[in-house]
Amino acid sequence: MNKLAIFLAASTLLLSSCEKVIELDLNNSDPQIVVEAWLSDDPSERAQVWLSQSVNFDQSNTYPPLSNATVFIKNRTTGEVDTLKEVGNSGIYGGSKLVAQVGQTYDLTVNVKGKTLTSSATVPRKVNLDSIRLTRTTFFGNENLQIVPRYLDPKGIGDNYRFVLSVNGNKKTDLLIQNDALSDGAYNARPLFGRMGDNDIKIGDTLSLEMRCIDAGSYFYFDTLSEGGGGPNSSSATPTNPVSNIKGGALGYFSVYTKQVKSTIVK
Amino acid sequence: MKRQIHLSLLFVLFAHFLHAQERFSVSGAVKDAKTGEELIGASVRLKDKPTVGTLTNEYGFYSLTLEKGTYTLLFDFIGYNQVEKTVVLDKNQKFDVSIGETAKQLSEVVISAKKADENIRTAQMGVEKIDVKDVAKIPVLFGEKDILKTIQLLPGVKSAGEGQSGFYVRGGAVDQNLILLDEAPVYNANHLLGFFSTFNSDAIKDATLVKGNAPPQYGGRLSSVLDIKMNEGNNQDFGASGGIGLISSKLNLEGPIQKDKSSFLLTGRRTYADAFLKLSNDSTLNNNTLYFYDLNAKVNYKLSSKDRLFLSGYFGRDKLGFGDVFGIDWGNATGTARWNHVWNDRLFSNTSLIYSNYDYKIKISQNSTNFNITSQIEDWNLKQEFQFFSNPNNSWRFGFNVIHHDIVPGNITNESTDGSGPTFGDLQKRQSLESAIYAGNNQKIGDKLELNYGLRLSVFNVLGGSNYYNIDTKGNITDTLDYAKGSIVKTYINLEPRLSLAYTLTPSVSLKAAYARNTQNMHLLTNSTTTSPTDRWVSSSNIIKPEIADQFSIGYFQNFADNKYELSLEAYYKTMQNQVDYRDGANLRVNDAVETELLFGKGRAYGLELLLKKKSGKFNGWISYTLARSERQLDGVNGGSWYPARQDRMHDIAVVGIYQLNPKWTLGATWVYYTGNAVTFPSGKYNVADQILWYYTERNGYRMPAYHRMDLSATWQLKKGKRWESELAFSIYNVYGRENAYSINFRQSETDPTKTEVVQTALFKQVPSISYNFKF
Repeated sequence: MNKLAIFLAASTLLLSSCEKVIELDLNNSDPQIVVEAWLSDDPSERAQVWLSQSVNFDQSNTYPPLSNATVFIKNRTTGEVDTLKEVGNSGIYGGSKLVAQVGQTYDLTVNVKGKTLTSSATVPRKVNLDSIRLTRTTFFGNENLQIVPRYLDPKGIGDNYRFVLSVNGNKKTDLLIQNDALSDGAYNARPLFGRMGDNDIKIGDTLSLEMRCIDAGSYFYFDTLSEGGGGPNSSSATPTNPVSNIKGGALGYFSVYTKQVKSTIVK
Repeated sequence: MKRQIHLSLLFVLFAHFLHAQERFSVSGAVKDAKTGEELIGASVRLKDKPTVGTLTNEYGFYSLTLEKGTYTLLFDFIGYNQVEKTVVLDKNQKFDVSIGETAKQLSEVVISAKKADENIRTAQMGVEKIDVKDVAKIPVLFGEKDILKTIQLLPGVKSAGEGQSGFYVRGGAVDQNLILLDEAPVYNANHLLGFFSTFNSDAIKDATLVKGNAPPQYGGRLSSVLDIKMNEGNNQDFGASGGIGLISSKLNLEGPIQKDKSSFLLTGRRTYADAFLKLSNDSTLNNNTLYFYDLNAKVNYKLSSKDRLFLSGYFGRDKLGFGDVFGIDWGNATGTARWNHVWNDRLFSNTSLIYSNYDYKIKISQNSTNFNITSQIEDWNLKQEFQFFSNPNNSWRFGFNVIHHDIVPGNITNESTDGSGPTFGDLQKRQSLESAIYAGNNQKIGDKLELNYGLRLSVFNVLGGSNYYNIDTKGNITDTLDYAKGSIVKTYINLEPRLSLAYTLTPSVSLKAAYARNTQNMHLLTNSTTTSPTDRWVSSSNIIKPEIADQFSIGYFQNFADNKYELSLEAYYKTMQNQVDYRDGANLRVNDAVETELLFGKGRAYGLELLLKKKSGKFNGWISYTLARSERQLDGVNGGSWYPARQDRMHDIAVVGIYQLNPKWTLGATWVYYTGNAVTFPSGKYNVADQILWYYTERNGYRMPAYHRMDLSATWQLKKGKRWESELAFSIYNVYGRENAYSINFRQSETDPTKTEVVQTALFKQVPSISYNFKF
């Protein structure tokens, strides 16, 4: 709404708002542990856990990796425990044998910097992605391409989806989520609405869309991330950190999901 | 025990009714001789004993009960000639008086509409009267004179942001102001994202702001009451006035339907910012719509010498559309039917049936897929009030008020022509009944003490007909409760005592003190940095409890130099219960059980307000200063410790000057300065999902930069005809072009991707405007 207000004030009242970069003395904060952890049903992907730390606002955009952590994931249903190993000193932990199974619950444990971080997530039912449909709209003179994932949401509230878009093989950073809170059991016609980052898609580009049926905890994380700020372009008056599903004092999320991909060429 | 005290207090108060003997009343209306408009707050006094007297009420009615005898009465209204009448009181007398504007009024701007020393004697405190004539001389954004912007220049009232008509009073939020237009509550007093108010000042007769110490006839909001009355319409002659400005034009028509008996008023305003869009060759611009319009209408009919009927209405609409893709229109509609009846020389009654509606509709279309989002809040309101002028020392008001609220939250409907797409379940409608009974008295004790006291009993019934939820402390729904239509889900009862008193030390100095409890059952949920038409109103429910505020205030009032200068100094302390704030990452838009996103806690606000005003002469104006804090404490925000509310800011200064250079030119200037509001900024950053995210450590822990701005205006009175008057008004907003921060955002640097940067957006540099106003 913020940007819209500025646009209105500026262009329609024949005035121009002005933007400038300013110096602002922001507080420093203690480095926070940041966890990004996921487990998919794709045997080629399996589980990965990325550990890093936050920095102060005026520092450069490099986030120190957290090495020498112990990271393991337990399948609560089968009792199987798998330890993830760090790749060099990258803060990236992987090499797991685990593959997400629908309906099973996984417990993540991370021991790092003297803290024990835990999270659990249950793999939701898998919903079939039939196809992707592209529609065009004109908004402020820009022709925008809208992507509608075509799937039939099964009856019963609680299906959560995250989509990852790639253009010509390059993964986009847009955070694209949907759920069935208001459209339970319906065939989806809602376009994906990116709230972070931007798209510029041309005719002839190959789009591939990955649909992930994700657990409720990580959906809530992404939802509060897009609602409450935390990201750029937030117009919330009370921006907050997204609500993490990791216990023990960390930023980030643990997500378990099933995935499938559909591709199309833009005509 | 508490109840017994209340009862015995009531008994003592009502005892005043009982001993009136060999006394007669003089009563009637005080009117403007030229237009027949009733004058609000005109003074009626005894010439020999000026401390005995009264003021006309909001319908121009007065009543004075005196012992048998012969009296000389003085009728006064500032800017009008004094009228002296002798009356022999050996029976009850009816006495309507018409008074004319003084000649010098043309060359002098007058600030106060009341009796010169009214501010000293009246028990009411925390009251600001806004003279509509004044508003016209004060420079404003786009030259669009606006009552809501003028009151922001008064102490204790703070602007909600650059160019915004929204305001904060004594540490309260925007929704804690009760804004009444001819008694009808206005739910969204903004046009065009807050840059204009819904009040066309051409249609307005009188506006009064009471900052938390309202007498018992008002209720329903914590912080203030802004009571706006529309003009009645000239019942003597037909007249028209209007204005042509850069972005809007307006026309006002009024006149008698039957001379002396009935009159009408019709005022319209429309902006044409979108006309500029049409001039553009760019199809991305000329395809868009953006305008608003307002209509005010009023009919006023004297049925008999004792009965008057008023019908008044307001209708306003904003329309905003981007081609065929997206459109939103929103607006208020209010209607008031009111019957004034004079039962006898001392008893006056007012019965009103009031309708108020606010709604918005959003249309989203893509090819054959269409979605509509609609939301509405609709009130039916019955008010009955009696005013009893017991004797010159006591005037009573008592009555009741019942409002039925009906809220439809943002429902989405799929209207796709090809039948595709999902169907959406409706969000739960909410119905409720808000009732109150009240009684109050304005009492003078001796020459020095004036009291205004009363009680208001408010009852709020949450009605069934929809689902309600039980929620645990983490905001999860534990139970869905289904209530049948007409059943009562929950009832909240609150007793609201109100007391204010003034003690006159010398004829020009007084001390005042006041206490008031106010409750609020309608709450606005808004979590964006700008005013939005889609901000959501919710009523109290099984989860959301009535907000309660207790305000204590004291004041020192002094007039100097024969009432030319007024000084007031007020201090207040206010505690608030059941204040609403939002959970981390709250989604307030499409959410049925919106209570799951809310947190409740308490608040406190305190401050000091100073106003020095020069009321008459060639040069007049005022200086206002406010020192204030407003804090909240909620479990779940900032670890449960006190934190500044969003509207918290320490210092506010406003300087307003109006100078009558010569009969042709009037100059105006304002300067405002305030320190920054509380705001949430990040204290670090991190990387998740290939994005830079900001790390927040606390809510409202930072401050926006200080704001200051100067505006100038000049009004040029053009040549006058016998009936024809016209003027040109020039203004410049933000004369020295200060880039005030409208918002501060954070982003990855555009020049160095390894860095992040802070970006400040300023909205308006110098904004000149010109408008032409006429009257005949």
